[in-house]
Amino acid sequence: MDSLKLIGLRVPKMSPMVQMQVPLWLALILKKQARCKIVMPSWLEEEHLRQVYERETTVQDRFSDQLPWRWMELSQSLLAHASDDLKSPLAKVRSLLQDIREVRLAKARAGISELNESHVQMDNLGHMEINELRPFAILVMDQLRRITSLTEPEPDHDDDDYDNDDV
Amino acid sequence: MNDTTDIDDIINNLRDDDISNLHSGIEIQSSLDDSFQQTDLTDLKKAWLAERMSPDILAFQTSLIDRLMDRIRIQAAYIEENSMADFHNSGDIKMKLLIVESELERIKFLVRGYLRTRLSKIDKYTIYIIQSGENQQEGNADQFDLRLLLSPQEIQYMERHHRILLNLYNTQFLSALPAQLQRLDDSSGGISMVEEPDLDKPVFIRVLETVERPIRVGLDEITLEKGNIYVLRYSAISKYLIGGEVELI
Amino acid sequence: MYGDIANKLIQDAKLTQMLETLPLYQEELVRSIVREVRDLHRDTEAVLARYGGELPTQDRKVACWIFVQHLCMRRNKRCLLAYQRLRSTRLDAMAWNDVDTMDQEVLNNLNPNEQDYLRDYSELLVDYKGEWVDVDLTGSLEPPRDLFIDVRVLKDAGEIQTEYG
Repeated sequence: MDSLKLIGLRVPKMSPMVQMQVPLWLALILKKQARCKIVMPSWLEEEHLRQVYERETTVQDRFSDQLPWRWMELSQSLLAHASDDLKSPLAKVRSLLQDIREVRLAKARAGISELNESHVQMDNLGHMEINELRPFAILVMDQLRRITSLTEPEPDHDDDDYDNDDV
Repeated sequence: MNDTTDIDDIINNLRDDDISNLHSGIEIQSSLDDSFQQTDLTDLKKAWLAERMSPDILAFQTSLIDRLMDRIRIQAAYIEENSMADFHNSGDIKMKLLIVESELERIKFLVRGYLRTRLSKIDKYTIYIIQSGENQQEGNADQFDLRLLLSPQEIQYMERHHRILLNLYNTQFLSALPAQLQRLDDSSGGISMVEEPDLDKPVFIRVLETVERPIRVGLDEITLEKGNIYVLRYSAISKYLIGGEVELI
Repeated sequence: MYGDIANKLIQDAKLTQMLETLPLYQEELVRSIVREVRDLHRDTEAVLARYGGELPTQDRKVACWIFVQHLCMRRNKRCLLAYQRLRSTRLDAMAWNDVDTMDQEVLNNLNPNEQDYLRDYSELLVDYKGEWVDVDLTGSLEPPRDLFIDVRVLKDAGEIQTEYG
């Protein structure tokens, strides 16, 4: 296919047997039309995932930095639509991803006990994981903030807030 | 070209740990125009997310939105033209149309979400926004005129909506109340009737550029280092959001 | 007791939140609350007049009574506003969903002022949306998941679109 100008990028001319980088959504369209093979990222290989899993289980107080920011979303779409392009057996990859997810979830849950009204650091958590945590974390911090503002009012933050009284 | 099957090996740019978006590092013959396009899309995603996550209203991205709207119109015209063309001789054009249309839908979704998120904030904080302008005109220098953050269309929308809402309240009951109870921005009795954004709302951020000086969050000091993810009160980082050192996630 | 009618209005608002369509506008309740506020105001003014229009700070019993009267009035006003605010927000949502503002079914439970408001807001929305026709502001707020959604059929060339997939 000839090169094509889009809003966010120019798709280069595509020829058979030539590797190129395109955004995921585009790769998935081509894949669905059986017009390409997707070269899987190396972090989706069994060996790498096994390492990640080991790191996650040995290091208790941090999340492994060996996964990309959107690892859950990416692995989900790639496994769902391009599993035949995986370099490692699908079942292995899937179960490792599941294990990693669970061990990280357990860590995140444990970390919730450290929530305070001021700030919490959550380095290397994935975007999806943050979204799962968000409603609860915000609720807890909001409540703590309210309690704190009652006991030790800070001079420069004279909240809070009478707005829940009707309807 | 007709032979469109068996294109082999399309690489995704997934190797990199710091892929903040899927479009970074795409191999293209990089003319200035192209890299400009890419940044625009990244910026749109950032603006959309920031607007959804921040408790207050952010500055309208006038030039960014203008550029994207131009491109959206061009792509829509491309679809229109080529759908009319004689496509039977080419599978290529169908593929292209599919790609263009898919991308267009994705971008329209973002722009739409961006605009509607802003409208819902504008509706919620109308009186607060209008007052900020009035206070400023009265020479209150601390007060920033929040209307400066809105597009001309948004200002028009806000003022008109406020007018018809006020008219509704008045005709329903407000004008029948004693004179001193007829105001909407009444805060006597200790309870403000003006809804304000809660700037201390906790937000999730990711640090894009290290900030050398530690920042104060309540009683603590923290250092914002590139790659850090924090959840903390919005007011502590809002100026770094505007400066681009952090992004809301 | 003062404030009782306003409570009824708030109960109606609570109920409204759970309903899919707006229930009947509570014309009678709203009118009674307004009347109550005016009564409270009249009584308060009469007492104040006896003290030369100044709050009698030395007579704490009277001062307290006046204060409570004021609180009642303000509470009533807040309830009225909250009730109408909830309803107008719902009317806004109806306009976004592009309801027919001439449809009796739609207008049935609205009082005339609300009907006017709905029409005004719908017009406002048409104008604002007109600035953004290219992104279709009323389009879905769900992200496009299916790769083949929203394929428009352009004139007679219907065949193209279905051939995509």
